[in-house]
Amino acid sequence: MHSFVYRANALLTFAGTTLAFMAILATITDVFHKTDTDVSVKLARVERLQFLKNGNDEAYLAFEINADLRTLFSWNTKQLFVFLAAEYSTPQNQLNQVSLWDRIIEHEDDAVLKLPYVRNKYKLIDQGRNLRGKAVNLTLSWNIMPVSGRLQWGRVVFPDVQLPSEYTSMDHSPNFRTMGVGHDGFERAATL
Amino acid sequence: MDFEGQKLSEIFYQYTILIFALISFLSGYILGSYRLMMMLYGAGVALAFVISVPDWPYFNQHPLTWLPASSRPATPDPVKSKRTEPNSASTTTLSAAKTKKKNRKG
Repeated sequence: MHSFVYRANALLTFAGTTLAFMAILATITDVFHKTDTDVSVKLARVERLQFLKNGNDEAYLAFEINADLRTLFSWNTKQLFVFLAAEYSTPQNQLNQVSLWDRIIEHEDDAVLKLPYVRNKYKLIDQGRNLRGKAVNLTLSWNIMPVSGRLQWGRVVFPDVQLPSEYTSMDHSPNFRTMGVGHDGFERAATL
Repeated sequence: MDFEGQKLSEIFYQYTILIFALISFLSGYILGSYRLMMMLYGAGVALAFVISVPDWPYFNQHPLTWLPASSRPATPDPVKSKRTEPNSASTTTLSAAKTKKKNRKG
C-alpha cells in the first residue's frame, strides 16, 4: 500500500472479486424467477413435398406460431434464442432433429410472437425417402441467454404432426419460394 | 503516505466498494435492470479510487519520527568487513575458496 500503483492494483483486484460475487448472486436470483409461457405451433400448410435427385425427400412447410415468451425475461436476461425443430424417426436414423426456423429476441417487448404463416427458414431434407405420411414432432425450444451465469433451456413439443401421404404434384409454381407473394395471397414480409 | 495512512486507505476503499456493491445489487434487482447495477457499481469503484488511491494529506497525519543521527556509524561497512574476515559465521566454504583464489592471484 506504499505507492500509487500498488494501491490502484489492490483496489481494482478487490473491485473485480466483489463484481464476481455480484454476478454469482445475480444468477442465483434467476432460480426464483417464475415463468409462464403460452405457446402454440400448428402446421399451417404443406407447400410442397418432393423427392430430390439425390434420393432424399424434401418438405416445404408453413407454420402458425403463437407464443408469449415475455415472462422468460428476468433482469439477468440478455436475449432469447427461439428455434423450431422437427423430430421424427426413420429406419435409417432413430432420431432426426431438423432445425426449421429460429429467431433471436433481444427485448421483452418483442417476445410476443404472432406469426400466422411462417415458412421454414432452413430446409427440411430427410436422409432417405421417408417423409411421406410421416408423423413429425414439432418442438419449439428456447435458450435463455443470461448476462451472467447459467444458460437455461426450455421446450414445448407438439406431437404427431402428419405430413401428406403422397408427393405434391410439380405443376404449381416452380419458383414459388422466390416470389414476393405466395399463391394464396400471404405476403412474404409477414413471414420473416 | 505513512503506515497509519496506508491502513486508512485500505479501510476506505474496502468499505466504499462493499457498500456500493450492496446498494447497486439491490437497486438493480428491485428495478430489474442489470445495466443500472453495473453503472452504480462502476461509479462506486471510481469514487473509491479517488478517495483512497492518491496520496491525500489525510493519509500523512502520523509521520514517522526517526532517531537522531549519531556522529560515527553504528555498524561497520558490510562489504569491507567481509573482505577482512572471510571465516566469519555467515561465510560459506565457497566464499572461503574464492578468497583463497584471490589471495593466490595477489
